[in-house]
Formats: sequence, C-alpha cells, structure tokens
Amino acid sequence: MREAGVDIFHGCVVAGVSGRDGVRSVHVVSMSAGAGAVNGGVKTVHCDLLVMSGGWNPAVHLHSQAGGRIEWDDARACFVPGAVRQDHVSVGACNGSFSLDACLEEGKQAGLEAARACGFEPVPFSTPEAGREPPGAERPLQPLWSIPLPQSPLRHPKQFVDYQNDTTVADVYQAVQEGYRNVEHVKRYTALGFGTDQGKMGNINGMAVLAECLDKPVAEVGTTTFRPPYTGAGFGPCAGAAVGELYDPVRKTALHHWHEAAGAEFEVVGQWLRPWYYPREGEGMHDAVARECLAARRSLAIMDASTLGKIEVHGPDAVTFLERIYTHNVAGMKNGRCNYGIMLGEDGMVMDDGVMARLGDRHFYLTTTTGGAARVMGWLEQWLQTEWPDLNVYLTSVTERWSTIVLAGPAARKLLQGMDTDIDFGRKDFPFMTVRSGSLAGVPVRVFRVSFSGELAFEINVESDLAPALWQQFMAAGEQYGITPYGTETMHVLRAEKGFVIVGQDTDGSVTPLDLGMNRLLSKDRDYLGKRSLVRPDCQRPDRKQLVGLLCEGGRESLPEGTQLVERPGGAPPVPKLGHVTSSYHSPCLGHPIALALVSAGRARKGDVIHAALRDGRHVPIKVVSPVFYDPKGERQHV
Amino acid sequence: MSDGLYRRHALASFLEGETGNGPENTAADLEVRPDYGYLNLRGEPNSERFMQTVQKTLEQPLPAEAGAFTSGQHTIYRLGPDEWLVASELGTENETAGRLAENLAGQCYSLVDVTGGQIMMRLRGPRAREVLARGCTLDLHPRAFKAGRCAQTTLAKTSMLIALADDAPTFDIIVRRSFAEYAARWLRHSGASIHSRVTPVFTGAGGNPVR
Repeated sequence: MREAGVDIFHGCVVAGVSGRDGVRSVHVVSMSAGAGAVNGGVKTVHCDLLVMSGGWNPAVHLHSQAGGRIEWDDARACFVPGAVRQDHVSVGACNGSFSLDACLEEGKQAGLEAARACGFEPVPFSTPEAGREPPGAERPLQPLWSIPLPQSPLRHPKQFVDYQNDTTVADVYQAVQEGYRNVEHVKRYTALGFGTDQGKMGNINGMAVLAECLDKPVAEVGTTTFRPPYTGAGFGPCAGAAVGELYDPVRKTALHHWHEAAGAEFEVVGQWLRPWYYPREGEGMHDAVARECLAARRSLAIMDASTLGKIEVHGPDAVTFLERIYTHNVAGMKNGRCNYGIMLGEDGMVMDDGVMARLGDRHFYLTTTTGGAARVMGWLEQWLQTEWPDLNVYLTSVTERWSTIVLAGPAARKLLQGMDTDIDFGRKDFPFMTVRSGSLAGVPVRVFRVSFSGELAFEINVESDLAPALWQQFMAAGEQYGITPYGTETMHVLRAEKGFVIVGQDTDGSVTPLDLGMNRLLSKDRDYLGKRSLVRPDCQRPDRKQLVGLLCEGGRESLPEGTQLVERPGGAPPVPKLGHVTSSYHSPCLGHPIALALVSAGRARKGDVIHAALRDGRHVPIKVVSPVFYDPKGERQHV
Repeated sequence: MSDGLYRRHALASFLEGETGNGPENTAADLEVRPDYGYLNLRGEPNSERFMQTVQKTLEQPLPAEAGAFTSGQHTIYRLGPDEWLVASELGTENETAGRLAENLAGQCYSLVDVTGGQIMMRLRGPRAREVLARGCTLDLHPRAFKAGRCAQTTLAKTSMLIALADDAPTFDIIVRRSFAEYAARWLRHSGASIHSRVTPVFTGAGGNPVR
C-alpha cells in the first residue's frame, strides 16, 4: 500500500468529516493506546470516500429468535450465544469463533453430537487443516465506541452510530438525559436500529455508547430483541417454482383439446378452464352467444359440464344422512329418481346446490357446483366424521371419473334414439327428473334427464377417457339437427331466462331459500342443517331481499350486474337501497334484456316500477317481474 | 366397442408437446402409465367377515397397516382406516367389481368404480427422491419411507397418492385426472432445478395415448 503511495497513519482515528453534498476531506487525529483522549494534531486528508470497519459480530439472530440468551463477551467485544432454549447449537462465526480452524472443529463436533442425538453412531472423520492462523496471531480488540472529544457529548459535532436512521452519539446521551435507561426504551426514543438493516451496522456501537453514558458494563445494558427476518425475504424464494405455468394448477376437462380446436374462448372457473363460447369466423361474443342460445331453444345444443362436482354416497344410513344435509324429502325418492337439492349452512343460508339421484336403496349420487366441489365434500365428511360417526355412510368423489356431456334442445331425444343404445329414451319410459344406466354408442353411460336450460335435456356421464369419442359421435349424429356446442355464457343466459339461480352469483352467503322462493324444497316434518336458523326473526322479515326478475320499461337497456336499485330517482342522501342486480343478459329468444335481482320485499313489489341507479348518474325505470321469463309452466323440459 | 370409439389419455395433448429437450443428466424417468382400472373400496376393517370376503375375492391380502400396499394381480393401496384403492389391469375392473358386489351382498360397504379419474405416473431413477422432495412435505428418506409404503400427501399445489415400489427408487404417483398435467409439468421443472432431466414418456400399449 505504502509503495503505491497510500499514506498509513498508525494510532490515529478519523475525528471529523468535511463536505457538503459528499465527503471532501477527513480529519485525522492521533489517539493514545488507552483510548482515553485524543492528542490533538489534526491532519486533513482530501478524499471523497470514508470507509469504516466494524469488526466481526456474530449473527446471533437465529439463536436469539429460537429463544436463546445472548451474552456479552468482553474479550471479543461482541454479543455471543448463551444458554439455548430449544435443541439448537451455534457454531463457527455465529458463535463468535472467527478463525477457520475453530469454525471447522465446532462444526464437526456439533454434527457428531446431532447424529448421536438422533440415535446414530457417528462415523469419525477429520477436518482439513486450515492452519493459517497460529494462536494469538490476532491482537485483541481495542473497542472504540466513540471518539472522546473535549466538550460534552451533547455538544459534539455529529457522531453517527446508526447510519440508516442518522442516530448520533448525542441522541443516545439525550435519551439518557430524558430519563430513558432501558435499552428497549432508548431504541424507541432514538430510532436506533429501526432502519432496514435492523441495527446490523450500528446497534452494538449504540448500545456500547449507552453503556458508557450510563457508566455500566455493556453486558448489563444488554441488547434489544432480534426479530425475524434477518434479511428481507424476496418474493422469489416465497414463490419458488409457483410462477408461469406452475403458478396454479390449470384443470382441463377430457374434452379440452376438442374445445380448443373448435376455437372456443375459455373462462376460468375455480382452477378449471371451461369453454365460454365458441365464436365462428367474424362473430363477436354477443353474436356467438345468441346463436348458441337459439340452437338450444330451437333444435339441439351440446355442452361440456364435466367440471360439476360429483359424489357417490353408499351405506344403510344414506337416507338419514342426506335428509340431515339437504332440505328436500329424500326418503320419498324412488330408485331412479332425480331431485334438485340445496344444502344450507348452519346459519340457514344457501351454501350449495345440485342434483341428487337415487341409484339404489342405499346408493345416491350428488352433483355440486363446480367451485363448491371440494368444499361440499369436506363439509359432508366433517359432519360424518365428527358429529355423526354412528351413521354408516361412505362418500367417494367421482368428479374426475365421469365426464358430463349435456344435450339440450327439442331434438335431444331424437338424436339419442337414433344411436346404438339399450336405453329407452321414450317419453314415458324416461320421464323428466329420472336417471338411467346403460350402453350408448358402445360405451357404458349414466344418463340424467335433468335440465338447467329449461329445454328437453339429457346429461350423459361417461368415463373420462371415452368422452372425446362419445362427443364426436354426438357431433356427427347431430349434424342433421344443426347440433351447436355452447359454453358457460349461453348456459347462464338459458338458466336466467328460466329464473334458475347460480349459487355464488345470485346468492352471496346472506340468502336463504325463502329469499329465493324455494319454500317447496323445505321439508316441514323433519330437521335438517340450517332449519332452525330459518325461523329466526331476521330470516322472517317481510322486507328481506328476495329474488325477482327485472325488465327495463319499454327500453332496451341492459343493466350492469351489481347495479344498485332504489325506489325513485333523487332524494337526499343517504338514498335507501332496495337491492341490486345479480344477473343480467340479453335474451336472444325473447329479444330483449332480462335481469335477476335481490330486492327488498321483492315478491310483494311484482308489477311495481323501481329505479336502477346507473354509474353515469341516470336513473332507469324498471319493472319488477317474476324471475321466470321463459316457459313459466315448464312445459318444454317435460316434453 | 363399436367403430369410431377410442380412449384418449388425460395427458395426450401434453405428451404431444413433449420434445425431450432439457438438461442432459437424467435424474429420473417419468413414465405415464395408462393401463389401470381403479376401484374405490370402503368398509369396516374390524369386520372379519368383510376382510375375509374381500381377500378371498381378490385372492390377495388387504394391506393391514396404515400407509401400506400389497401387490399381486391387483395393487391394493390402503388410503385410510376404512378405504382402499384397488388398481387392476384396465378392462378387468368391471368383472372384479361384479364379483366383489356379489360376494359382499348384504354387508355394509361401498364399492365405486373410479377408473378414468386418476392418472398413474412412475418416477424412477437415482435422484427421484430429490425431485419429489422439493414439492412434498412427507419425509421420503429411506429410513422413514420404505418400499411397500404408500401415503396420500401433497405434491406442490396438488395432492397425490405416492407408493414406493422398490429401492431404485421407483415411486408410483397417482394424481387426480385434471391435475395430471400440472403434476407432470411440476416434476419436469423440479428435475430441471437440480440440473437433471425428467422426461414424461407414455408407456401404454402401442405407445399412443389415443387409441
């Protein structure tokens, strides 16, 4: 260094720095070995950088965070790990052992001890000879916590101890003068160690300054609490591989490749990708959905409903169990019968819905909403395992075993009758809301005659590996009927035309079956989950929000979902809100927009005109009507 | 089956896109295995009659311990105290189910054909344990998880049934159908993270996932 022209000053310290927007020079003074006082003789060195060495400090943080005590070591002038509370041991530099030999030896001993503690006989081995540091090669530390100056520390020029929070020696003295003695209090008064380095650079110095000021040993002053994290944790380590295609599982149905090839746009439903609509060349979403809707109403449409949750229930107590979970009359269901079913939370609110089919005396099949599948399975298992372990009932998820293909439209029966099958699809032999098993186009199927569209419809369950083949057979056989694949958007329009709710869209966890007008589904002569909550005064209020349909008076206006509804325009705020729009679509078969809404005392308002408060400030008059817009008698699904 | 019918494996599209490119070191081979029918069987393990009937019908012992499986004509995994998964050659499960139902008539049990709902992959190779351990909270160390053991556990963001067939080690991994693509992608990525290749290969008859 000297040869390179660098001045080296022995027995000196930097006592001051000059410069306005940066370091311009430092002031060097000589200091006696006892560090009691500076000896004057200021020398100025021009420079633009001042670097300080803080010596070695063990990273005792993990030890401390694990409940271990910290002890001051005078010889090494640092805190080192003391007694442990958990089964851990500090070795090497974090134990205050800074030489390589010591690090290797301590690591070896700790490893051997850990192996023994785990019940293994350690295999002896030797550590490499580091041997670079003969004992005593390093002279003992001579701590210098602050430069002693003639004037009182409170009058010193700025002597920074925390380089992130600009805490100075004077600040620490000020804290003591204000009466703070405890290191934790001084920390909070001065902000010492509060920076993003959490005191890694300046805390030891600051505490030692405090000790000097209090005229106590550092050991007695102690240290502040070490809190995790030692260093900021990056998002990268937290995310790990869970980025891009591995961000979250993308669940695809067995027919996904067909939908892709058909040009479908997809919608994310839970983790599933579902076909949203199938635009043809030059078609927008509106046109595509209108075409798909009309196909279902006039002839034949086909949908992939495989994502529905599916559960098989077996056991002698299946009826008892299901009657406690669902609200409808389960015992009265004949074999082969299907029922729409809802389940309530203990608060009486609608939790999930689906179709229940009775496949045998002790054998049922349930469907759940796509998003609710896992939740419902957990809910059922919870009741079985924790509350009713006396019931002999077994549940098995078959969501992935079956793919579900829906054929909807007036031509659905003709299509199926024209195929190779041992199932009698005749009107009398396969009535609405029943289920049949058999063979169709050479594969075993379960066929449910249920309808979420209000049309004649069959939901065909087929083993997933065979679903693409069966789908293609339907497409080929259905060509003569103009068979049209439809997605979730068309499904929504068709069901809204019929006033069928979607749990989670038209309900939000605060809606009872009474609010939805489902009184008929509620068994009167037995108990079920949530029943008692339905008789709470709040659930009986006549002004509760109830499901209704909305039509724009004479207009063509489509109301955005979520639109707030009010009695009349104007009025001083806060304007009382009657409810909100839950579903809103253009109905291609009716030729005008329709909407479903939850409206306070909605059923009593039928025929009334209320107002939709739009975001642009306008108020649109709308008429409250029945939520069933299409085929109110349900004749089409019964044909 | 009549003409025009074919089976399409859940990973058919995914396997089409497989190029086999990646790091040169092979950590483990990932075989996508199609050829199983699956039956989910539930019943009372303390019922001698039930256990005897099943074992006699399947001509194979049911694993008595938790987290074990038995091999033979079927592979039978114990999923829980009262639940087993019976994997058989694809196409034989119907007949097996029929015999079980006949012999178990009048007893309290549940037998559900879940074929098509699960996908089996076989991960085999010197670093298979490492590949799995990166996404599995279970202790896979040979001391803790020996050949003949199985467990339902996590695989990154999905779940799996994992069974250790031998000490190669060979892990049989059964995931739910719609999570198979995610699991295969994840295993491939996990291999790449230790600079090794995990290449999904279809090992079904004819090597074609659509047949």
